[in-house]
Amino acid sequence: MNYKNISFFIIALILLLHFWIRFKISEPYPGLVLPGFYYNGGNENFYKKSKINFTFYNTDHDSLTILPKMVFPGLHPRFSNHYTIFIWNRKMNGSGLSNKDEKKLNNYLFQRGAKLWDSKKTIDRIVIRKDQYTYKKEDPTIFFKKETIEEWIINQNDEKK
Amino acid sequence: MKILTKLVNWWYDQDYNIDTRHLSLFRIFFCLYTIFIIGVPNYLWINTNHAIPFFTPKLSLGIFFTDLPPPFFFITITVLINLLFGFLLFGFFTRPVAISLSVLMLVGHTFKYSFGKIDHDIFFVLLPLLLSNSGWGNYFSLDKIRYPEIIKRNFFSVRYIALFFAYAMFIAGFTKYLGGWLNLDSKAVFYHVFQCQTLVDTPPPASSFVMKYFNNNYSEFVDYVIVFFEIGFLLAVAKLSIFRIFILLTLIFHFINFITLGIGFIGNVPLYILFIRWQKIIDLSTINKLNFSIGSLITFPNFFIMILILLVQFFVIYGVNFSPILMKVSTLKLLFIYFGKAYSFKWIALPILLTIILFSPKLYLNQLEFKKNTKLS
Repeated sequence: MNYKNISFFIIALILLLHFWIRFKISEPYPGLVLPGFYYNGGNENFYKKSKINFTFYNTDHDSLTILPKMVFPGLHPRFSNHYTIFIWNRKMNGSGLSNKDEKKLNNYLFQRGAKLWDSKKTIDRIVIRKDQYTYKKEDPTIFFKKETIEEWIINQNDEKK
Repeated sequence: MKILTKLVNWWYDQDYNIDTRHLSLFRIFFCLYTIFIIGVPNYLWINTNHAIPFFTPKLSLGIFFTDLPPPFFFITITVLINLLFGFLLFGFFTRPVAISLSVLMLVGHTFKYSFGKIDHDIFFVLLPLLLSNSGWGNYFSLDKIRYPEIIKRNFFSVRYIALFFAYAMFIAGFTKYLGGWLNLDSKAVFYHVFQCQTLVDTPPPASSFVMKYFNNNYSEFVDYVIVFFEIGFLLAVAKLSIFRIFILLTLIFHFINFITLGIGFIGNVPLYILFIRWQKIIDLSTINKLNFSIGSLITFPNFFIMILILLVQFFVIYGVNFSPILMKVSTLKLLFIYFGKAYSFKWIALPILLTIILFSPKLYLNQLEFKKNTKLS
């Protein structure tokens, strides 16, 4: 085996290690490393009950979409590039979050500056409390904290109507 | 094992090598592109407001911190990065400078990403490190003036940059696959565009078009194309000519991404440029006008002028970040927009990507030469 092979296998090993961390460690535990949740779930374990599947208009399916406007709608434009918007889906007739999952969701939201305030065990609603930071239009350099509680109660029947 | 070894040897026979002169030209392009087009990374904003709680991901440098470091820390790394880009542009201590640049940017990005938003610019951060050993400081550099004899180099870097990029694309595709993009009712692309159209203040230019014409089952076809394209990248790296075709397709893909989802991928442009057919496009083997004019610009006085420009640029960004009074001055606001990247980003991404796409057949494909040869024969 020459040096080419050795260097290739070292690199391959590093990539395999990354692959293992990315899909076996990172995804089920959002607190361990920052996960790539962006792609339609991407994590069967975590999203088994609350899977992102982009079915906002698909009322034929028994799914429920929680659509927060933005984590920080009033954020200063200087920061606005640094946040991602997430769509949360919950299975309408499925069971609620387990305590473990709730902890994970809490952790996940905490990373984004939001808090899970209440999640009923029979999920037909989810409430996210947002510590929303905004600024005065007259003087965009001054921030002030505005705590709001936003609640999305989306009933599937209402949605169908 | 023998077959694997043979395969690796075969892969090493693929000509990924780029001439040192062209790599040196690429170094200049990379620095100029960063300094004047996308802006040198700025980490000053991170600790100007404690609006966001600090989160420490366990597999990062963040574990050594309980809270964000003081503003002085971010000032130091930002000013150092500004200066080091000047050093790299003029090839002054190229190798240590390239390594330091990547390390500093990685440290800055650790805190930038600790808020939850992961960006698409990791290759921009890693490029100096990956190319540090490639000999990209051998020509058009102050190092060359200081040490005229040619420095030893190897061809490790470019081949593995291709592999890393292919792996990154593969990971993106694989995640989509795990996320259910191949389910027939997922319509993932459509709902990503939907998200952009409904939730972003200024939706991307073509998102409404997608909303209008792709709200049907055929949009699932796009999901399939994207997943297979991204996963297929890992195979494409086996042969450079195929890899170049995939890079060309990536350009088009990222252009469509930009107009439908607003994701510019502008930080990846140097990476796309790295894989153009350097030898065929730019002749640097003989003494010509281009060779001469680039060489004549790499001098110590010009180096000091550039360092001065970079320092001024840093102080402008510093002033805008920390002084509420300066923030109100419109000229400085404009400067911030130019250097601070955040606003100019979308307006420069479109023309740059479009230009590269227009020139891409010549930049990446061998087809044109083939036609010429057949005519001659």
